[in-house]
Amino acid sequence: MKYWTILFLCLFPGILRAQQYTVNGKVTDASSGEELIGATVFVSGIQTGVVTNEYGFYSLTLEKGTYKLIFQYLGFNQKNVELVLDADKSLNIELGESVDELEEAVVSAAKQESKVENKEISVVKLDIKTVKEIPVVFGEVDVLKTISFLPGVQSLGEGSSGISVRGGGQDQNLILLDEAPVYNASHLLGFFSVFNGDAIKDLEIYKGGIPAKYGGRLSSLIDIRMKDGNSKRFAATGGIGSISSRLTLEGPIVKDKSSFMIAGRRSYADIFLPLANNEDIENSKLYFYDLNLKANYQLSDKDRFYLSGYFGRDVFGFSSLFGLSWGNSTATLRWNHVYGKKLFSNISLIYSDFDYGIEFQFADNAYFGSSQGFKDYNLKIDFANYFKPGNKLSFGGQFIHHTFNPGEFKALNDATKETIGNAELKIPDKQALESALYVDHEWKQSSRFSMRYGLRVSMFNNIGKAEEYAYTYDEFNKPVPVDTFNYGNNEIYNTDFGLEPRLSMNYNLNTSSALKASYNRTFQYLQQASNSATTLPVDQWFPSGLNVEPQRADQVALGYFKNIDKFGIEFSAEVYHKVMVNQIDYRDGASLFFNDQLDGELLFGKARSTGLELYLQKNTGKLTGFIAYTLSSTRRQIEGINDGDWYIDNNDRPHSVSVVGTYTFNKRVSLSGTFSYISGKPFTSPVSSFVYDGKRIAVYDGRNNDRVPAYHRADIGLTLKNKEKKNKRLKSSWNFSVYNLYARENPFIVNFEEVKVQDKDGEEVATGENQAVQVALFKLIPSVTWNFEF
Amino acid sequence: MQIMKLYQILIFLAILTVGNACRTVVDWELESAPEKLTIESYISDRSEPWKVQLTRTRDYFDNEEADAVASAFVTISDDQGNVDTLQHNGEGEYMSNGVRQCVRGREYTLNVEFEGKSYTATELCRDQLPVDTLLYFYQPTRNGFIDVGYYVFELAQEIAPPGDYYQWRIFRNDTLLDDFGYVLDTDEFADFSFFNSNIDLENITLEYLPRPFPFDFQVGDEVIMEQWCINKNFYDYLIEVTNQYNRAGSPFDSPPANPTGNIAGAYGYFAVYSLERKELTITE
Repeated sequence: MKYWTILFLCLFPGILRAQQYTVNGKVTDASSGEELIGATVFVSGIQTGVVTNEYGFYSLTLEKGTYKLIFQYLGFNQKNVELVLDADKSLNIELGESVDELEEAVVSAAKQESKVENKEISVVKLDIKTVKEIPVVFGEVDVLKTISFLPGVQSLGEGSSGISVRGGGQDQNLILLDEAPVYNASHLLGFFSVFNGDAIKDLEIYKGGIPAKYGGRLSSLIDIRMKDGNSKRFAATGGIGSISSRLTLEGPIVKDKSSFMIAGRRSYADIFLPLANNEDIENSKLYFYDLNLKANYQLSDKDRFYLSGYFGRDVFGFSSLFGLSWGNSTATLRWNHVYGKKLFSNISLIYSDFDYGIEFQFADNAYFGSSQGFKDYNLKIDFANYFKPGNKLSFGGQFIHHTFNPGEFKALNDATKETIGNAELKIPDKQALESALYVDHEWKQSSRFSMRYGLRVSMFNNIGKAEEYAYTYDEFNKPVPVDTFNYGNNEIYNTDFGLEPRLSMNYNLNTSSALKASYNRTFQYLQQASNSATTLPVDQWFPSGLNVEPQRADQVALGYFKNIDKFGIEFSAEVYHKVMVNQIDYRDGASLFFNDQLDGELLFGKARSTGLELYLQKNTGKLTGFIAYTLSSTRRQIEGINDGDWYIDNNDRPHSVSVVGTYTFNKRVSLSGTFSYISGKPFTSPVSSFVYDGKRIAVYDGRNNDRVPAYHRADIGLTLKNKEKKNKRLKSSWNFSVYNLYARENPFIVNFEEVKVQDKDGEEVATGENQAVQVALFKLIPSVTWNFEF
Repeated sequence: MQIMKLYQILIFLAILTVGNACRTVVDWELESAPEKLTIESYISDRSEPWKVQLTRTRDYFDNEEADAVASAFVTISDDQGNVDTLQHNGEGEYMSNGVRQCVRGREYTLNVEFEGKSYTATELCRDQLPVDTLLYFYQPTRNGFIDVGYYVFELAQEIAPPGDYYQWRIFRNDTLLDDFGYVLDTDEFADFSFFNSNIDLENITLEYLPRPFPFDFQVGDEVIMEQWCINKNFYDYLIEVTNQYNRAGSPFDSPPANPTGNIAGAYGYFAVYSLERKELTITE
């Protein structure tokens, strides 16, 4: 601590000037007491200001004097406060929601000016209210699906919650739920994401310019914050939908000091299974549930504690023979403390766990199961010092202990144990430490130029107990372990370092337009083993180590931002170029499941992605929404694939267009619609065939030589709010939506196969003729949801 | 762990059913590649003529019969210097002049000269222990995976250390049963997937591996079991061929790839194996 203080005093001698006082406090929602993240506190007259942090906290240090402070947050009435600053002061502000949502708070020049400046390059912040208005499949609010409408972000397709950010892999996104990493964000094998819309306050996605505070993934940061819980009164919200129902309860524990929130959700897709008219499907199970919990306690003006948790599980059973279940659990304990007036600190203790299990029962005494998983203990310490407006220094560190369970296989009941003895097959756990220190400085040089720069130093250690291998490859390119290394408990046997500079700059051309630029280098020490197009819960995470170098990415982005006040329109254009090295792919015929020599099945290379992203957003008026267009190209070069030439990456989608709009007719009726068009995904098609053992086997000539037809779809949603009765707190609304309005059969996959016909005994026989078959997942899907709150 | 693949496909099918998926046969234009040679041959220590089948690749949507190769020069030699030239027997099949028999522990080399190119592959004829017994039991109820019926299993010992690979071929009244594709296993780890509870473990000593086969028989059926001891690469090849052939268009499919055979420049495989064989007739 001392060292840092001295360093900063040397760097910024100006901060010691006399006659300066600090005002700090929190900005909260007047009706619920929720802290508002990213609210602006603007000092009228001297054209400067500050934005509230993740906990609604702000601190402003100004010369002695009288000021007019303007507190603003989108969708809320602004508040002007006259402040006589003749001593350090505390000022907590509550903002009320705009009475008439159609007329947004008066758009002042000050607001606009601060807005174009406060917009960070490659960062999009989404309000949960906006997310909830957008129609989605089965009417289930899904933040990850909504994010994929944004430029530079692509859904990996229907039936997948996986997203690719600027050509990156789906395991390259750092998804944080109240700071806890979520390793598998999908429910129902990818049809939904694990985030319950009612439990979420807001989210931010960083496609680049990731602040030094965050690290560990190459391509993006998706920062999702849970609601704190209403500290003013008890409230309940919920909904009954065609595929799931949910209920959220929140309220004060001690009024204005402490509150809680508990949100639960359960799907019931399986109730439709008996309709399937097939004995095996009738007896199947297919459901998920999740629970979000949060409580906070304000010990004093300077100290606040938060405890949040998530627990979710998916259960899938096919007949009574086979079961698959997986889930995430996370817990975060946080302590906010304010030292003096300017130094804000937060210490988080985080636990995250992901596991999945498969079980199958051949007979009463032949009941087996396998399990795999992943566990993290994480300590984060963050400080932010608000020297004065436009001069904020953040610094801190992080320390994570990872445990990987690559797989175990065992008897699941006593009868089975009796028959086979206590036989167990387990690949030993692997352990690793991931730590980082960072410093990040936000600095406004003048009313025109500001920048944010920082450095993250990360370190990764593989620790024992472990058995590692060195490989050679036989004439058939199969790994053969030639050397075995054994390491004792807690022995550090491999260390990798990463120096990760981050930079983001803003130059205001005038009050309504700005040029922005960013550069960042990121390192990733964990990756997911997946050799299929879709993420599955069975795709395990594994660490870099003796045979696997950490992934590294460098990205530059340039952007032009323009606000057109008259129409409430914001426009941005960004170009980026990203280079990723130590990218991983799998050898042909690699076996990834239950393999303790997984690192022998890898191939290494690099990837690059370049793109242009255009984004036009309208936040005010009866019609709101956005239009996004992305032009991009992503290529990969892996030694051992396609003769080591550059080839089209799985995540390459040259064109992507999305239109999202909501039209509000009156206080009770609103209509929303979306349209998206995405170039088809690349895949590998055969170039010829040979006959082996009477079967026709396809011959391929390199990966991704073909592309499925483009994906496009329109959705529509209608929200009808029921009349509010006086003196009644119950509000309710109906939401009707149609997914894939014009029932386009979007290709999920194109498959090449031998034509099979049924012979006279009903057995399938191959004909020796080949055909191409296109599989589409969802056609038109209508859904209805009834939502309520009181 | 082939059985995992089956489950993955089951899950996927269930999802497609729930998700109202539809399959459409579409016209698709494919790239084409120059023709290449395909070689298919299996030789063993069974006394029989050695055969090698040669065909040419063809376009994926070309539904004609495969082009037979008639003008090649084919030899099989062993590591003792014995060379055998095979004669073209029609339709791309080359055959030795009379019966031949591999010797366990010897290496055999196939050489094919065709259109100025030479294709070679070498494999070892691996040794294995004789099968002890072939038995059967009656499964009185349908347990979900298998139907009611008689099931055959073998008791056998294996040569230590691990590293042996097997393929079984089961015949019912002289018809090869191939409903489940290739029946393969390795002794690399204890594989529970063949385990069945109805076997009376009390009477089996531990060094014996009871191995049931997933085919149901009826009283009167004549059962032949062939146990092939194969090379690891052939074992991998058969799995890759199965994976590629069974691509179901599911997200669980392995990426498209050409199975790694043992003949550089050509598709297919030259396999050498040793054979153990047992027969029985199912009675009441």
